[in-house]
This record gives sequence, structure tokens and C-alpha cells, in this order.
Amino acid sequence: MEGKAIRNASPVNSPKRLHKHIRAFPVWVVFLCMLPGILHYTIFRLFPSTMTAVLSFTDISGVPGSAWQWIGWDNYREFFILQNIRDLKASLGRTAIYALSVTLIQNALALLMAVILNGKFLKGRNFARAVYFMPVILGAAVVSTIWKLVFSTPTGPVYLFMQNVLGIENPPAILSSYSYAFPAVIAAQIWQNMGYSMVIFLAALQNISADLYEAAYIDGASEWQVFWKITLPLIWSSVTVNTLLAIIGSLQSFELIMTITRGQFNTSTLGMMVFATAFGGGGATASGGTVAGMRQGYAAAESMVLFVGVLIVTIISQAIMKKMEADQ
Amino acid sequence: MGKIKNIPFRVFCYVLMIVFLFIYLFPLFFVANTSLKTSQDYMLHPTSLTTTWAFDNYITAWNKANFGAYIGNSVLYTAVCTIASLILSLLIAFPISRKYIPASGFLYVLFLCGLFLPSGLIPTFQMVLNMGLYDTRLGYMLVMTGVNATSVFFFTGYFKSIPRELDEAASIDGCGYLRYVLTCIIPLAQPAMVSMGMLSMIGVWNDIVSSTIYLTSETNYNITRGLFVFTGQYSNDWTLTAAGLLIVAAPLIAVYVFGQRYIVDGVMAGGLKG
Amino acid sequence: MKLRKLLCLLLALLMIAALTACSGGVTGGAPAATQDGAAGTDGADSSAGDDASAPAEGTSVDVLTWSNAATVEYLKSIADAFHEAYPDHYLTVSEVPSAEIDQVIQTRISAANVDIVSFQTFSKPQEEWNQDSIDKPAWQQYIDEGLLLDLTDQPFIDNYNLDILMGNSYKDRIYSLNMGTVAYTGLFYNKAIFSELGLEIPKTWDEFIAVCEAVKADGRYTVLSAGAADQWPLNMYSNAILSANYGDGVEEIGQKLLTGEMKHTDPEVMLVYDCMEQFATYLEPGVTGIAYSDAPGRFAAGNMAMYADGSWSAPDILRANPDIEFGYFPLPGIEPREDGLDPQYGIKYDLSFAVPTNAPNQEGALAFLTYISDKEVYTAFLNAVAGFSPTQNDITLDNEFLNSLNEGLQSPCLNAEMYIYAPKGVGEYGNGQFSFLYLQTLGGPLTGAELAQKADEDFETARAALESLNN
Repeated sequence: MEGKAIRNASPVNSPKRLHKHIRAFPVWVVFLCMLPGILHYTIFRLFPSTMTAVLSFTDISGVPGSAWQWIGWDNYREFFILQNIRDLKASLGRTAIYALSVTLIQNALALLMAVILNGKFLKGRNFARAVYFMPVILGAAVVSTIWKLVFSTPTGPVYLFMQNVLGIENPPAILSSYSYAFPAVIAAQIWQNMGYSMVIFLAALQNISADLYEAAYIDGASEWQVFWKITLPLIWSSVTVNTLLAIIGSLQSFELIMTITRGQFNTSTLGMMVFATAFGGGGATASGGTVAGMRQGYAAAESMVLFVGVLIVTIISQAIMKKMEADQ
Repeated sequence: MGKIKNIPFRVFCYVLMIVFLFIYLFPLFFVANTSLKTSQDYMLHPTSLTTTWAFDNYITAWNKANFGAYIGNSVLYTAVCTIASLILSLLIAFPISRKYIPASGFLYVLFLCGLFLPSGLIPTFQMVLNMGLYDTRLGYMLVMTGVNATSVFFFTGYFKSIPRELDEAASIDGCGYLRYVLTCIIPLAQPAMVSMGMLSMIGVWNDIVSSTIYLTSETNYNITRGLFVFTGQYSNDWTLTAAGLLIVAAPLIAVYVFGQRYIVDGVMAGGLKG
Repeated sequence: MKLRKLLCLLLALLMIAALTACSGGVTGGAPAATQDGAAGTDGADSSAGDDASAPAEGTSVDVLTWSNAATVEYLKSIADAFHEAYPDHYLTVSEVPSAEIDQVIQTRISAANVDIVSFQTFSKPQEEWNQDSIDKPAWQQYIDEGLLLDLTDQPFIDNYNLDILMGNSYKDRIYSLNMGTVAYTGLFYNKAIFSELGLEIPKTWDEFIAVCEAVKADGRYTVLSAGAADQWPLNMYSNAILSANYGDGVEEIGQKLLTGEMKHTDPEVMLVYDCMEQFATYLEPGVTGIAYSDAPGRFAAGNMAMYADGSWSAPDILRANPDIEFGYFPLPGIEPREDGLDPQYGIKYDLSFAVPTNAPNQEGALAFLTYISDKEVYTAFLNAVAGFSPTQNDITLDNEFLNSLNEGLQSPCLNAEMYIYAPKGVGEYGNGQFSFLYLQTLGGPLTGAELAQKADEDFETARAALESLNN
């Protein structure tokens, strides 16, 4: 991996005197050319984001032309009071478990594989990197179908493996079990995205000079020591980035949940609930019941809760990562 | 680290690499194997190596899933959204990186914010609905196009490597701005464009959430939506499902095989901002 | 380079080894050697072909329905005839997976780009007594917002049995044209297996258990199965148990459960959990992993004595194996009926067409409803669908299976599903569908009594929360 483009990329705030430079082109022409992008971004990104907050105070419905009104904090009250508390806790807890386990396991595995694939002696490492990264490009529709096939009952390889090799007499149907469906969905998320984090780690690892290692090994350091004392501190910024990406990604994304279980069998996270409340979907409420998908005001409120959650978690995790960096 | 050979460590690396290769390749291998079985053979011996080579499955799946109709849509959506997103992002990122307009820094931050903002799923839906663009190709493409934060970030970084003197020379030669960007900057930024283009292509091709929300007539379905509906209808026939799945995945895999370098470049660049 | 080749080889071997390690025969399910997967799919194939050649003159009448091969194929097959009868219009049919139908109806009515939408029963409206406890169902919102056309005074309504249509009306107006009712509180049974083992159709619950025991003792056949991975196919047997034991009395039970006058742990409702616990012990191993779409074909393979599904699946079974001899019997109650009849079915309204008021081609939509209401077309439709009982008067069907249901339809009740409510925001155990997959006998963590207990707790919590919210 050459990463030529990367090394050239310098942070935008690097101190330069560019703004004092002669302007090569008239500002209005430049601005006119930016306008479509800015407009599109404002209309399809900024405006809806802001409107989500606004709609969360209404009882707007998905039924066209129906009357709606301002209802203040009712949606939020309903979310925190009416939603059977146990189930509310369960679904928030589930969202947290999902984000936490995906972030930790995915990054740990990705780092491990990146360190291993960074070993120059390893034959076939380019092939391996290509393979690990592949599910990233396959997308949720394909990955979920693969997953459903592999876990299908009673002809899927996993079921038969449990039955014939592990000797379990009556193996559970993984994807339709209250106990195993959720771990399976988490595994799918990790399987799909591990390669992504790994590639980011690899990029960071390749920026470490080989001389450093050479010197360490001559001093008699073990692989383990080298990893903790040299590698990890040097790639810490990519650990931060990967953590952030994984947290945001796993909290917000629900494609795999939607395509594998539709949120049934206690697999629904907050992101999935937002989608199901707004657009309908079997079994995707906290309670596993079906929703008609009519309550878009309420869904907007759920969406805001999710957003605040993401914000808090992001800030906290950033602080922790900074602290850990300073401690090193 | 060639000097000191730690044999157990190397063996450990190989074992781990192979175990993971297995975890990643086995599902694909199983899908391919299943797709080549007759459904009877699959029912009787789901895990035997195929001996039937039922290539018919692909034709049957293609016809039944109506992929012929959807693949055109997917190509259209992917092409239009990718090109539009690229050009919009380019036209945003270039002046920002050069600080050609006031408040460049502010704009830069504004676009980066896109990574964190709430999704806006519901207002976008209401908006598309009220614009009369619901369940239309145009509406879907408008939603799927976007100046995305990663591209802006990636491009601004990349343009710094293109010398400013070029801009000045062009403007002195009387070359218009738009023409300059489209004919000079794009070729110079080709690797960056290809990287971001491929990432965006993959994103649009694979989209399942927006196509579920915005495309409800069969005539507008993209191919992933077609696959999803097809698996719902024929989940009793895994051989056909497997074949359908591979049909959808094939273009992705082809793009990946040829463009791996660019895709990985793009991802790495995205990751190095921290 | 050599090492790389070795790696590849090793990996390939590993995969093949894994495959063979997993094999050793499928023991979990009925071997489906006789299932002819191709037979079922050929029909769909040819209809996809027809679809492409749909006539393009005139204005399109866009019908939206859920995926049900028989209905969709028939609708597509009459497109030409309809166009001939009404040259100004032509028919296009869109189907979506049934799990998505509510969402797609909503979005397409929003977009005003559909002429006919399909509903099932209009049940559980929000009324004065329950308005604080439940949300307005989607169909009621559509009607209240004036989005569905009132069909009461349309001439084609006269072709139908008004008593039946009024059962699915709202405020005494008819908003959806019901194409047929279905019986779904019964079980399919394999006639060959029953006669081989000398079994009779059970008339009481004990007889039913005896039948299950007999098949189990014989050991050669799967006793009972269902498409349990989708949850509802199993949960709907709560309705079967309720209907079989209480008939129309379920309406009262449902209301009392919602208001709190009755509990899940009361003997009347506890009966549902007890019966299901027992029922579940006869379901085949791995049943919770069997997808609903997969299930009819497995019964059709001929190795299964009984199969829990609605009568609408009869055509799917026949499609998978045209030679199979099967029947359908109502799930019996604990006690014989007081009126001396054999066990009767609970019925519900299946496919019902409604016309959105914002339909771009309303005239065409009404033309189509007129066309399909024609006695001849309607009879042909029911014969083709082969799962609905007629809602027009004096219809004679040539379908042996449907005619065989008549005995259980002498005094049918409206299905329990129409009366069992769940309060807004209720927890996962009390969601009104009995959540059977939590039962230990189905691989879950709870006994029936515990599940009923938890359902009560959920109802209590929800009622308390609603009260504090409404004050």
C-alpha cells in the first residue's frame, strides 16, 4: 500500500499565508460554482437535521394531509414514561451493548490483524488484507443474506456443525432465538466492518519507521513489548479515529438489524426503533410488537434521544482517549 | 524486523491469518457452493460439494428476481449520484483548500459537521413527499447524492499538493474557473477522485434503507432492494437466493478486484484525520 | 511463492473439511426429497413474463397487494381480459412482502400513486372506552382523514353478502371490498398418514393430544410443524385456542384484559398458555428456525402428519406437491361445543380492496372492482386463489379443499385476533400476541405460568404509565 495521497494530505489549518495570496479567480464565480453543493447540503442535510428537533415536538403522522399540532414534550414524556420501563431500559441497554461490543471487539480484532499483516515476512498478506476488507464493499443486503443462509435452520452449516460436530441434540435456531439472535447480529456487524478498521490501522502502522523496530529488537525487546512501547503509542491517533467511527457507526446504523431480523427477537436498537416507528416494520418496537409506522413526530423524538446519546458518548470517549494518550 | 527470527511468533501469525481467512471466505464459499446445487440436492445434502453444477439457478434467479429491470436502475442511480456527489464535493473542496472565498474555515467545519448531525430521516421523507418526488427516480437520487464530509476532507487535503502557481497561470491565460477545475484539476486529482468515487459508488449500489423508504414501485427498485424482496419471496429456495446474492455481489467484487488500491486509499485517508 | 500456493491449498482443504464435518445428513427436518421446488416456481416465472407484456394503452389501474403467489398470479392473468372489457384502463399489479405492506400502503397513499390498496380486517378501532389505551389503527386513520373512498353505494356491492361485508365496516359504511374470508384456526393434516395410522380427526383437545401421541409413538413422521421463525404463525394459535374454547365470547375477554378486569393468569386466559405449552412439545425440533415461507413446502414433502397454518396456504402446499392428499380441521376446544356441532372455525377477512380518495385513476379502480365483482370472474378468482371462502352469495367452487371446510363453517366466530388488545407502550411479554417463543417448550426461558405473570405485570405497568401520562 503506497498511501501516496495520504502523506500529501496535510491538515487544513496548517499555518500558511494563503489568504493573503492573490486571488486567481473572481470570488463570485467561485462561489456560484459552490452554490449547488451548499444548497444541496443545506436542503438535504442541515435542514432535515434541524427539523428533526422541531418535529419531535409535534404529533405529525405519516398519514398525508392529517392535522398535526404542537404537543410540547409529550413525545419525550411518552418515551421515558409510557414505554414500559423495563423495555425502555432493555432497548437502551441493548443499544449500549451493541455499540460497546462492536467498538471493542471490532477494534481489538482489527488491530491484531493489522499488526500481523504488517509483518513483512508473512506470505499472502496482501491477499488476506483484500479478503478481510471485502465484506465492507458487499453492503448490508448481501451480507445479511449470506448470514441468513449460513445460519439457516435446519440445513445451514452452523446448525449442522452444532448438531453433528458439537453433538448438540437440538441446536437453537440462532437468528430466531431471543438468546442468540442479538449476538449473531453483533457478530455480523463486526464481520462486515473489521476490515475497515484494520485498513486504517495498517495505514498508521506503515508510517512507523522500520528503524525503530530494528533498534528495539537489537536491544532484545520481545514482540509484546515492542507492541506496547512502540507500536501502540505511535498509532494512537488511529485508535482514536477507529473508536469514534465504530461508536458513531454502530449507534446509528441499523441496516444489518433491519435486514437480518427486522428488529425481532430482542435485536432492535434505538436506531432501528426510529426507523420502525417512522416507517413501520414488524416487531421492531422495544416490546417486539408491530408498529404501523404512523407516528413520525414520536420517531423524531426517538431520533433526538439517539442524537444526544451519540453526542454524549462521543464526547466522553474522546476525553477518555485523550487522557489515555497523555498517560502513555 | 528481519534480523531476529521469532519462529513461534511467526507460526502464530500464520495460524491466525488462516483462521480469519477461513472465517471470511467460508461463508462466501458456502454461498457459491449452494448456488450451484439443484434445490433437491441442497435439501438432501446441504453441505456436500456440489456435483450438479446447476448454472440454471443463475438464470432462474435473474428472471424471477427481475434483476434485468433493476440493474438498469442501480446503474443509473450509482452513476448519477456518484458523479454528482463528486463534482459537488470537488467544487466545494477546491476553493476551501485555496481559501478563495471568505469564511472558508467556517464552511469546512460546517461540512465536517455532517458526520455527527442527527440523521434527518423523517423530515427528509416529509420534504421529498411534499415536493412530489416520492417514489420517483429523481427524488431518490436527490436524497442519495450528497456533499459528503469525507470527500470534502479528503479533497481539501489532496488539493494542497497541487501547486497554486497552476491556478495563477491558468487565470492569467484566461482560462475560466469552471473549465480550469473540470479540465485541469480533475485529471491532477485523479487518484483522489477515483478513491472517493468508488466509495460513493459502493455506498449507492448497496443502499437498502433509502431504497426501502423512497422506492416502492417495482419499476424504480434498485438491485439490492430487488434482492431483499426476492429473498423474502423465495427464502424456501436457498439455491436461488444464493445465486441471486452472487449476481448482486458480482459487480461489487469486480470493482473491488480492479479498484482495491483506490478504495483502500480512500478509507485510509478517511482514517488519518485524527 | 510456493508458500502462497500452499496456503491456498490449505485453505481450500480446510473449507471442504468443514463442509464434510458439518454434514452427516440433515436430521433436523423432514427430508424433502419429494418437494419439487421447480414446480412452485415455474408458475411465478411465466407470470413475470406476462407482466412485461402488459398492454400499455389507456390509463393504468395500479393495484397494490402483498406477496401471495396465487392472488398475484391471478390478478396478473386477468389483466388482458380486464383491458378488453374496459379498453380505457389496464391493470398493473405491484406486490410487496407482507411484512412491508403497511408501510408501503402508507407511503404510496401519501404519494397518491396507487389506485387500489389491499387491507385485511378492519379490527380494533379506537373507540370511546379504549381511546386512552390504544393508538388509532392505520385503517381508521385513513378513513378518518377521508383517504379511503366510501364504497357503500357502489352498485357492485349488491353482488356480495351484505351481512359479511358489514362485519368489516366502519360506522356502518363499507370502505373495503372483501374478496373472501379465511379459516385459520385449524391444522392441515396428511390424509395418507392419518389413514395409515388409523387416526380420526380429533373433536376435543384430549383427542387431539392422543393423535399427536400416536404419531409420535409410531416414530416415522414429524408430528407437527409451523413456520415459527416468523413468530406470528405460532402466535396466531393463541387465537385458535381462544376461538375454539370461547367463540365470540373472546370479545369480552379481550376488553376485560385491556381494562384490567381480567388477568392473563385467570384460568380463562391461562388456558391459552397451558394448551400452547402442550402443543409445543409436539412441534418438530428446530421449529423456531423454520421460516414461514419455507413451511408449506416442508409439509408438502409428505413426511409430516400435521401442519399449523391458515387455510390460505393450501395452494402453496399443492404447488409444492400436487399429489399430496391433505385436509384441514379446526383445532378443538377442551370441551365439546354446547350446540352439539363439531369444532368450528374462527374466520377473518382476508384480501380486501380499498380505493384511496386521491387515486390518480379512481374511475379505473371502480371499473376494476366492478369487473372482479362479476359473479363469473369472482368465482374464477376464488377457484384460482383456492384459499378463500366466498363473500358473494350462491357461489359454487370447484375446489374440493375449500368445500371440505364448509362443515366447520356452519357457525364460525370472528377470530380472536380481532378482539385481543395490547395497551399502548406495553412491554414485550404483554404485547397482545402471547409471545409464545418465550416458552421453555419452545426453547425459551419461561414456563407458561411465568409468561402469563409477566404479561400481567406488563399490562399493569402500561396502565399505570398511561394513567400518569394522561393526567
